[in-house]
Amino acid sequence: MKDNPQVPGVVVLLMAGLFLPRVSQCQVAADHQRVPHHSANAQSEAFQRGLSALKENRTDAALVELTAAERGEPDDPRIHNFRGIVLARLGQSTEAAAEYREAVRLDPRMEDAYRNLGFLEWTDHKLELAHEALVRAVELSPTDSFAHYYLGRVQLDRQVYSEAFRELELSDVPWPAEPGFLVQAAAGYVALGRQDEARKRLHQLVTLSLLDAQSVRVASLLLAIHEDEAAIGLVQKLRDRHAAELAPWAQFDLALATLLAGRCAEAAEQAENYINVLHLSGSESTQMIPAWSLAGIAYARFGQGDRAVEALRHAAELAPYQEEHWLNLTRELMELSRYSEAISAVQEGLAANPKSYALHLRLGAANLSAGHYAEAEAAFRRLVEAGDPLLTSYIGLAQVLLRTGRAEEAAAELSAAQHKLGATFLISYFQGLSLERAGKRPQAITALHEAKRLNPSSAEARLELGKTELAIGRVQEAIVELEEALRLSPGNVQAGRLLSQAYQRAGDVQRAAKYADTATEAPPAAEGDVLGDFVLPDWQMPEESKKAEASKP
Amino acid sequence: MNRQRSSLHMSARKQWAIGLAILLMPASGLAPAQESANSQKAKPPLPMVQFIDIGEKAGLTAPTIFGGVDTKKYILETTGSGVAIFDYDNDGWPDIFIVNGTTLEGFPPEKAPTNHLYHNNHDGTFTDVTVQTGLVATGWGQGVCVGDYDNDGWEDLYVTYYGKNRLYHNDHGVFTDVAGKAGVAGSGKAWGTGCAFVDYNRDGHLDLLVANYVDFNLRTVPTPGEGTSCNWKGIPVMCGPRGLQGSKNILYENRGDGTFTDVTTKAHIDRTNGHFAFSVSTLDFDDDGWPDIYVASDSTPSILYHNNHDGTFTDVAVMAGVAFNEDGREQAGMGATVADYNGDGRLDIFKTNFSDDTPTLYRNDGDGVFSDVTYAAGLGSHLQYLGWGTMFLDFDNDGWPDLILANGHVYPEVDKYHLGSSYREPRLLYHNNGNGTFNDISTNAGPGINATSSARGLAVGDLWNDGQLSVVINNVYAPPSLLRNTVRSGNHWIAFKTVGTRSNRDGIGAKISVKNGQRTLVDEVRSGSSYISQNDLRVHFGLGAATKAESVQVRWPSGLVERFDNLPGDTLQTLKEGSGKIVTPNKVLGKGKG
Repeated sequence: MKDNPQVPGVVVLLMAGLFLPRVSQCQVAADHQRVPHHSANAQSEAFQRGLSALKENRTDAALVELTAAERGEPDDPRIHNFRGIVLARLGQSTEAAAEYREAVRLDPRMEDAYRNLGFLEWTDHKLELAHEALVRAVELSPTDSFAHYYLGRVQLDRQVYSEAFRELELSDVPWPAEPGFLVQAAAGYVALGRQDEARKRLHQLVTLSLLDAQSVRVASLLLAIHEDEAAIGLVQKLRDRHAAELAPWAQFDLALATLLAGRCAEAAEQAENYINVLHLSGSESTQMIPAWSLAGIAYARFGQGDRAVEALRHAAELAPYQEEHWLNLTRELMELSRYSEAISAVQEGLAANPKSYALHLRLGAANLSAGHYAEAEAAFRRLVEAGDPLLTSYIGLAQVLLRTGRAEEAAAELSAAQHKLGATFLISYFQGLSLERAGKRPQAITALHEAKRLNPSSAEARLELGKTELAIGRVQEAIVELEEALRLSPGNVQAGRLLSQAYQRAGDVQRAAKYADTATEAPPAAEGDVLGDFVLPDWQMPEESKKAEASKP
Repeated sequence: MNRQRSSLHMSARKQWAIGLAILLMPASGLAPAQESANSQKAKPPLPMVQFIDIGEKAGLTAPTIFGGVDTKKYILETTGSGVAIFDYDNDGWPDIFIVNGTTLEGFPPEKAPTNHLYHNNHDGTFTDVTVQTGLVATGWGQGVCVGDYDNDGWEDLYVTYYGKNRLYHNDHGVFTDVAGKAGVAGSGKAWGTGCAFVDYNRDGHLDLLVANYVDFNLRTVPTPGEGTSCNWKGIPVMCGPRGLQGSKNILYENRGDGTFTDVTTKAHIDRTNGHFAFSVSTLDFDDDGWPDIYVASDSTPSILYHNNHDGTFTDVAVMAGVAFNEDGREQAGMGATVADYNGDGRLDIFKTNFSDDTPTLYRNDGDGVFSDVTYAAGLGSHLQYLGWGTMFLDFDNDGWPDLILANGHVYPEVDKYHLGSSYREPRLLYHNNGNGTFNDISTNAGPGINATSSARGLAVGDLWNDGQLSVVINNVYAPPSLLRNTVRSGNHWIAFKTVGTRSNRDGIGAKISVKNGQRTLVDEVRSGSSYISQNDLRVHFGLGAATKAESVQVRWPSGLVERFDNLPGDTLQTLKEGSGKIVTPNKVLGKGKG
């Protein structure tokens, strides 16, 4: 979503006027040396007339005068700069940009030309060029509020949020109370985890008159900061504003909001309502695809596995060339341990999407879970040999090798992965696991220490390291790691059990007994996010928004 | 589609899901054997063992009937039953007792399957003497253990059931069920599994520990697919044990007058409750002269009852490291066996588990703790088998206990769905390399090992008194297997029958240490063990090249320690308490404090 520039041209003009004395007197003097005196006067007068016309908003006249001035003084950067301003106001962006570029070529320290250029490029949605020019502007003039402001807006558009807010905060320009901008700002705060600031902007937004698409966006952001009721309320109002048959997307969005709020049963019901509305309106079945997907995810999350599979299968069959539906379907089948069906579904998905990396990976995982180790190995190897730039297929391959008693081979494959992809936590962790299984405990400990370094908050790495230390008799070291694992993951029964053993070995019978007492407790239920690894459908938008989005460069 | 959670970008969470939603990863500590160029031309080496199944030929012909054939509606139909090798008629030759089961539908009385006792004819054959010995019995037979509970010189039998357990008093080769009278029949509603006779208070009378599995009620248990614990890899199967109520193990103290008292609470056995207990193995793991008890448990932590010397026990399994595997995870423990596999003088434990898991070898580290050394020992390479009966046995008499496992799945459906396991599974045989590791030699160990069955109970014994250990396996819906090793290694052996005089007559609980050159081989006289089965009570040692046992020390349950020197190899020796050279006199006899 892109705002129109808010700073009126007159301000630019005034700023230009403020900065006029900056133009190198030497340069002007030099220019004057090249032009005969009587011509120089004529050019200067044309320039002044041009400026006056511009001030009076007589852009055509301004252009004539400044063109004449430029003809006489082609090397005067000021003229190029102002001619650029006039051309910009006349909507001749390309020519305006050329003028600004010429100005800065002639005077590389002409800050206002850089600023003007940046502003122009921004309005033309050429964000990279805008960024380049405005960065130069603020370098040259660190106190230029507007340069910072525009740079902030550009960064906001580029979704480089931390820099965007830094620039906007450096600028004194008050933020406009304009929905489009506020939505961007809120999105930025959410992305940066600055929830309080996001909340402030979102609360401001809900009091404004929003376009439908803006309402949807605001709702999604409210959900991101767990203001579920506010989000659902907003989408409900949106839905109620429109007749169901004319804006079925609103019904869908309400279902999606409800799902994201964790009200899965309700979401499933709403998704089914949406499908019914589409049926009644005679919509094409392809329009129901996102709703089937949403219903399936909702059913999955509240434990209605069979209905989830049915709904997700509908989505996949209606849109076989969209891999995400096969991924969702197979994800649920695997969750239900229906591995044979999962394998069949992946194969169906691959038949329609033979180049899908994710489905190839899923094939490997499904075969691994089903105990078809040869097939799993083949699937993962295909990805590895195809030069997978991600580490997941290496990890999958290592898993298969470990399952089939080839720990050393697993360690070797992971070493190759590390060489290719660089050190990552997962590679180091599984290397540690593989080396431990291969009986190479000192090397396993080295790898696990590396994993710990790469991800200090991983309880699993600490647990594995502690276990390995314990196995080689380094009891105190084991206790340290296992205690940390427990601190990072309270209620981790494995850590507790191993600690009981470790303290027993250390002769601390009291602590051993303490951990033994908790060892048989059931671990606390994992608090996963509502949606796990499903691929969510997108928010639906009104048609006019879709067209507006499509028309953006 | 929304890419916020796109699998294409493989969020860390998905990477974890793939990476960590795993079962135990196996590793073989041993690389596959590499053939040298020379060996390609040389004759293949003679196999070190060849087990062949002579069961049918030997006369073990009655199949074990256990629940449904193509599907098991309830967990009751899956556990199978045990086997005992014991000399019921005191002729010096071990006989074979096979526990049998039944079906949900039942049988007309004249056709109901029964347990079977097979008399050893000493010539390689056995005769079914069930009827004449009074051992005809029907029902959901489970496990069996042997002990002369009344010290009359005749081995008695205890058979567990889903229902009332049976204590068969042996009167010169004829048995009578005296369980009710003796007070060990149980409630009639419990599901007894493993058992072991053990003189826990060292008063000279064998007491009895009975493991119980699930609090099972046919009227209320859910049906296949009815709940989350009634599905396996997406297939609706019988429910449990998870989701069902675990049970309580029972300890009976022998009063010395033919009756027993339930001392479960007094002995603190019931402080470990709610486990799905299977096999009972006794061992003095901390070598303090008092028997401890290991109970392998399914889907719940296994139990190690440490004897407190005062009539009570404390479950120290978690602290000792034998409740879970090396990752601290529960396993579905089935059978267990005890031996000093690494020759350090301490008794270690090996346990079989469910499929998609490895068995577990716990090495006794001597300080009250064990280490799970499964992978390091080379025992972690098979995840596809579901293990049941298992025993350490020195099949080549080289002085290092080897391992045999009997396997078989619980779900007949597994064949149809091709999920990495099969219903009938081969046995596994591991050779002990003498350095803390084992080699899987199954494929070269003979047809008796590679044959597939849905096996459960397993017992080991020297059936022909020739130093060659044989194996009897109880198979579901098939006759028992009797595996005889046809390869003679050339190594020597010695076996001991203990006769207690102040201790219990069988000498159960006696620790025998055989000094053999630089090594000392140790084991105990043990009732129970394996999977709800009973092995030959005579303790067998391989001597390797040594032709005699230089010195044999026995620590009796009474406390007396005595020595027998220079016993010839390749013989079965009877060691009578009090007839050796005293090393340490008896401690004060009488019951333990309690």
